[in-house]
Amino acid sequence: MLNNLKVLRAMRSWSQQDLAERLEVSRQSVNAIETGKYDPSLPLAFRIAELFDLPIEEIFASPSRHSSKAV
Amino acid sequence: MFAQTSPRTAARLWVGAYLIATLGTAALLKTGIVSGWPGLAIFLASFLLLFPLVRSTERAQAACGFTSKAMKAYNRRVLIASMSYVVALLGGMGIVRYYEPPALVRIVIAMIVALPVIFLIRAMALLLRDETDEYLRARLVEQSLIATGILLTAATLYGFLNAFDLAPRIDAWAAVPLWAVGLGIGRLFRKDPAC
Repeated sequence: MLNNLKVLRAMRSWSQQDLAERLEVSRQSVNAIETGKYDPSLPLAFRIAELFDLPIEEIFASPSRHSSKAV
Repeated sequence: MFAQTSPRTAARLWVGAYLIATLGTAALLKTGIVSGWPGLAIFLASFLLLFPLVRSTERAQAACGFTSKAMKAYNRRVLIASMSYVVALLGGMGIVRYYEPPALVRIVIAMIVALPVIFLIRAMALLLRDETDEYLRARLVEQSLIATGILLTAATLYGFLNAFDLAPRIDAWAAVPLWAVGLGIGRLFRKDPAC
């Protein structure tokens, strides 16, 4: 699933480890989500959205609506 | 030893050293180059390499961002189970070979030797249950499925080869080591960057 987690993280000057600690997940999880290798569960997606204080759809692109373009 | 290398390379080197030491001393015992209790002693001693192996693996996991409480507990359980298994296996084999005990005693010995392996299987189950990181848990589930697929495929193929007298019989305890090899193969399917 496409997302702009990397951009949001960079805007706050957070490393993957910083974000991982804030989300209480492993750094590898952050990496897998950022690169689109792994789609987070709904609870984790909500945690991410709450951390950045944004609606989920502003962080993750709906696969059905954005099948060919990045967020 | 291996202090100058990256954590991941160091872990790989310790795995190599462990395999060479255990398989090498086993070969020395099997061929009779070193026999009796001295041979058993160096074979047992080679398993002490599991301690630096687990420590280096934990460092590599930390460097790669794979560390979790559940994984650390799993590593400890695997270490305890492996060391207990070696002691139980060699002790059991020694008692059966030198004292030729009655069937009832051999049943008890077989159960004692199997216990650490069962503990190992339980460790994997606890890891899957206790891992709170959903990505790491998904990876473990994927690896377990690949390992199970490899084991079932190999068992089916080998079973028929054996049934048609094309391959010798293999002891059933080989299932767990083969499953563990499958876990390693499963890990190769998902190459995680950033480590």
